[in-house]
Amino acid sequence: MKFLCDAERCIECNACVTACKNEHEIPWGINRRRVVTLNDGKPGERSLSVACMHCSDAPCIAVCPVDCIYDTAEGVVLHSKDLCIGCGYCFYACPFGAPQYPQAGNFGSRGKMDKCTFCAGGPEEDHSPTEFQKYGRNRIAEGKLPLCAEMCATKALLAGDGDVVSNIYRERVVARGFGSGAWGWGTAYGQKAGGS
Amino acid sequence: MGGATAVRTAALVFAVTAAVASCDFDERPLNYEKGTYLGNSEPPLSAATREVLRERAEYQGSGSGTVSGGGRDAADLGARAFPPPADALKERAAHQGR
Repeated sequence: MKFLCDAERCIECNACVTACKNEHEIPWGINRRRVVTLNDGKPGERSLSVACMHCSDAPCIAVCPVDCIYDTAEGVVLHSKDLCIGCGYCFYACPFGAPQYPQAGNFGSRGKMDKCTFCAGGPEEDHSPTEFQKYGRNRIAEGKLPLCAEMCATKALLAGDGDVVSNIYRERVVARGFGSGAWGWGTAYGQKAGGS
Repeated sequence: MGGATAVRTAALVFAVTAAVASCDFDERPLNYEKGTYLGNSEPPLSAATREVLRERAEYQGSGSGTVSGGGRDAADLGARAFPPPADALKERAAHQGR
């Protein structure tokens, strides 16, 4: 499962941010998804919707000292709030700034890490109140894709199987004749240097 | 004298036992295997769910005439299983005035 944001289509409406907060009832101070604008007000301005990209070789998994982050069979990167100690290492390792903390503070006083779950809940019983309270809605188990992507008005934000979303993007690039290179795709899903 | 001591000892033992039993022991692993997730496991998705997800992903590339996120109805795969508590709506409505 992968996210792809088509910068040629994103109109910076922030509906994905709102939908995410509403769907998962995310508390004040935490934004699992946000819209970043590059070259704001200048020619070539582009906006991107950014959250956890659920990297193929996630650096957060590599640095977590208590191994609370894992990836599922579908390639979604999730974590256990029961194991998280709030050290913040994953925040420093993540190239997308995805991990969030409910409180500002030093090592261990930030509270449990929170991040985009690809609307896949967490390591609790599917649809249980505990899962919802800790991780938010589990749309994936209902056969639905992340809400941010499903409700994107311009279909700028795509989610789903890597081959499906990359095919959709490839067709768009061919049709419009410009704009190749989805932002963050290489960082999140490309092969790492020296990797197989 | 001895009886009172025995009663006090029994009360102390009972109090300590109750205090320890009421502790909320989490299931944090005590021994880590570097790079291995040892928490609760994620329930796997069924093949039907995977197929529905794939269909919905393909709909994202369709024209503007098609509803985004359409495709086969996913409702039979599992509804939102827990209804809100009876007072939840009342409480949320009251919050609007604060």
